[in-house]
Amino acid sequence: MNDREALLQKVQAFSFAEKEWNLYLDTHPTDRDGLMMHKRMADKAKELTAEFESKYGPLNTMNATNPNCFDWINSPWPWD
Amino acid sequence: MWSYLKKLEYPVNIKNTNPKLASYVVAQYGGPNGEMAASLRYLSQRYSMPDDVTRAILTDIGTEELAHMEIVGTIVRQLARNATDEEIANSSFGQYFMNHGRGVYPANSTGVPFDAMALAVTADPIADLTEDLAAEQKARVVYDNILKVSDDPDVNDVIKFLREREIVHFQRFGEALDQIQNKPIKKCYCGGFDK
Repeated sequence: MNDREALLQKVQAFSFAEKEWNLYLDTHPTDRDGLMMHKRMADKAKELTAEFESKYGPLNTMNATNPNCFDWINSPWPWD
Repeated sequence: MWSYLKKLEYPVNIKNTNPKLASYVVAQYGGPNGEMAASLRYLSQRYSMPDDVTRAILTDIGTEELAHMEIVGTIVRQLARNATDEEIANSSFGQYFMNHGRGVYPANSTGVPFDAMALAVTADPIADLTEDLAAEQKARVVYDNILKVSDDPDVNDVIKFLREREIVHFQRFGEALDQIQNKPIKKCYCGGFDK
């Protein structure tokens, strides 16, 4: 596994954890521990996503801000 | 609306070519118990849900199912993309190949195209959520069946993740159904106004 894949895997892990707490909170919207864990996972996912995008390019078009080239189109795509 | 993220929800790195297994796994792309049916079912049923819990859970699980469709499509593509013509002709992928090549098409494992008859929208939240519970179990069974016939560790690792998600979704749908059946309808949980 190269550095890019290793960092992407961390992004995937914390983004998944955010999603899992999201579903839990949908049916337990006032659970304090759940709210705290969701925030913790969301903060870490945002931080890792920003680090990944600064090194390897945008994961979302909102962050495709390179003034010279629209690097959003660059491979690898998820199925590559 | 939706915003696309250029990553899979769970990593997929299939090293071994296996067109036969691709022809099985495609069942969870376009088959009646697959991820396309799941996402369309939940994202269509949500409009007529009665409260914030049911609207939220159908939107969020429906969204996760779109990500699962992308994972299953990636498995099919990675299993088939490097297969030789001969390997394809000698496998159950051969008939699919005639129309779809090494591409990803929403069909079941026998080649029948996706059909919205696989899902229902009744606008009755009890009926719809009960269907959703069954749908999660049927999808789990297909993943069990894939695990019975596949010995590829790269594929099985991802299939086990998807199988676990069916169980978590079943749990969440059960909680959503329980709260509309057994509690007074409470439209707002977070300090807004009941409409």
